[in-house]
Parts: sequence; C-alpha cells; structure tokens
Amino acid sequence: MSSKKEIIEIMVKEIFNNNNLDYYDILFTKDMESHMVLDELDINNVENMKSMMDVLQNCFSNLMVKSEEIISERDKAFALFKFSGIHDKDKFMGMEPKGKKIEFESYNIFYFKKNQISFHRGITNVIHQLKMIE
Amino acid sequence: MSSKKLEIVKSLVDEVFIKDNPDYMNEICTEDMESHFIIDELDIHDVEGIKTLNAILNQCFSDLKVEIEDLFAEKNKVLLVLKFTGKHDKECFLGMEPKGKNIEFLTYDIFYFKGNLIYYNRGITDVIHKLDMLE
Repeated sequence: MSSKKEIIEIMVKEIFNNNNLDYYDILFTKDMESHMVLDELDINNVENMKSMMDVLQNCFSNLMVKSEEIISERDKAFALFKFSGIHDKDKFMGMEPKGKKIEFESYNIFYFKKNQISFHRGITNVIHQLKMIE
Repeated sequence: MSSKKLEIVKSLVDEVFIKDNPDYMNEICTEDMESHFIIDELDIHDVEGIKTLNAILNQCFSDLKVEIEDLFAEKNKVLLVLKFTGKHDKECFLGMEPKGKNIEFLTYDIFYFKGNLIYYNRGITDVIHKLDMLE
C-alpha cells in the first residue's frame, strides 16, 4: 500500500510531468470533487483537472512541476507544487506568448478514500505571477 | 510533539485574528521569524507584516470572522486553512471602495517550528479571486 506522500509523488511524476492520462483513473475516485479556480476555469472534477493540464501543456513548453512540500496526516495530505515553464505556445489568461519563463505555486489539500483521492481543494498564485510573462 | 504545535497554531488564530491581539505573535514566534505571504501590494515577510495584515482586515471589514477550516501537522510543520468572512463597510480594500457587501476568502498557511516557536511561514490566499463579491 502506498503512503499518501507516495501517491502525491506519483501524481506529480505521471500526471503533471509525463502527461500520462491513465493515472487519473488510478489515483482519483470516479466521483472525485475538486475546488480550485484558475481564472475562468473552475476546476471541480477529474475532467476539469485534465482540462487544466491541457491548458498548461498548450501554453507552455518545458513545463515542469515539483512538489516543494508535502504534509500528511491520516486520510489527507497537503502538497505545495511549483510549476515552471516557457510561455511560447498559446495565449495564457489573455497574455500573448513572448518566450518568457513563468513560475507559480499551488497549495493543495488532497483527501483520500483508501488509496485514491476523493476530494481536492487548492489555491494558486498564478495571477500574481503573470507579470513574469508580460 | 505535533499536538503541542497544533495547539500553538490554534492559539495564534484565537489571539491574533479573533481577539485582535497581534502582539501575541511575539510569544509564539522566534525573533527572526520569516514569512512569505503576498496579498496584492502587501508582501508579508516577518512578524510585523502579519500584524499589519490583521490591522488592514480590521480597518476594512466589520463583523470580521475567522474560522479554522482545516488544521493538521507532521513533525515540525503545521498546515492551517482559514476562512475569513466580513462586511466591507469601512476603508478601501485592495483599491475597492466599501459598499457594505460581504466577502468570504480562504488562506492556506504552513508554519515551521523550532521547538515550540514558529520560525518560518509561507502562505497563499484566494482573496484576489473573491474581489468581485465587493463590486
């Protein structure tokens, strides 16, 4: 049985960095509920999480995600992710691509049922970081 | 022990944000405590920055309420999620004129301890996403 930390690390590696779609079904319950807002994109289920990753992949090259902090207790784990990438593909939040590097963080809490994530909530500071790609 | 650290963070919420006793920070933080928390132009990087944040919220909102939404710990780290609610009927807040409307926003904080004192804090808020509630 994987620890909560190991599951988070697998998510970072497979979903965020390898863009391996198969892992959504492995790591999340089918009815997983999410509460995270990224501009006009209101992320409230697994499909919305996939959409968020699509947006990031479509806008940035060299997209990298690192877990900077993981704190876990019983059936939940907090994870602080740092995203970085070069904005040289599609428009992002209305910003034209200019080949500049962006870095932003997201703070997340994942709630587990057995070894799958059943609920997620999070906040990102991407709005504060948009000046990096002006 | 993690349970002692949880109690310290609970007391921080109670004293600083609920009882509006910002000087309590001096009792539970190291003198050189470092903080990284950004709300718009306010870059909070030490104990005084956290006191300033509390003062701004009290200057802008009446009926300011703070609730713990989540709190857990591992070793020397504590994760805290707070929900702030209030009525914007006092001073300008992040450039918004007061119109008597209610706001609700969240903060996520990590507190790092040396012994039983907080020496480092980093956090984030979704208040920027919630400003349309004040329009």
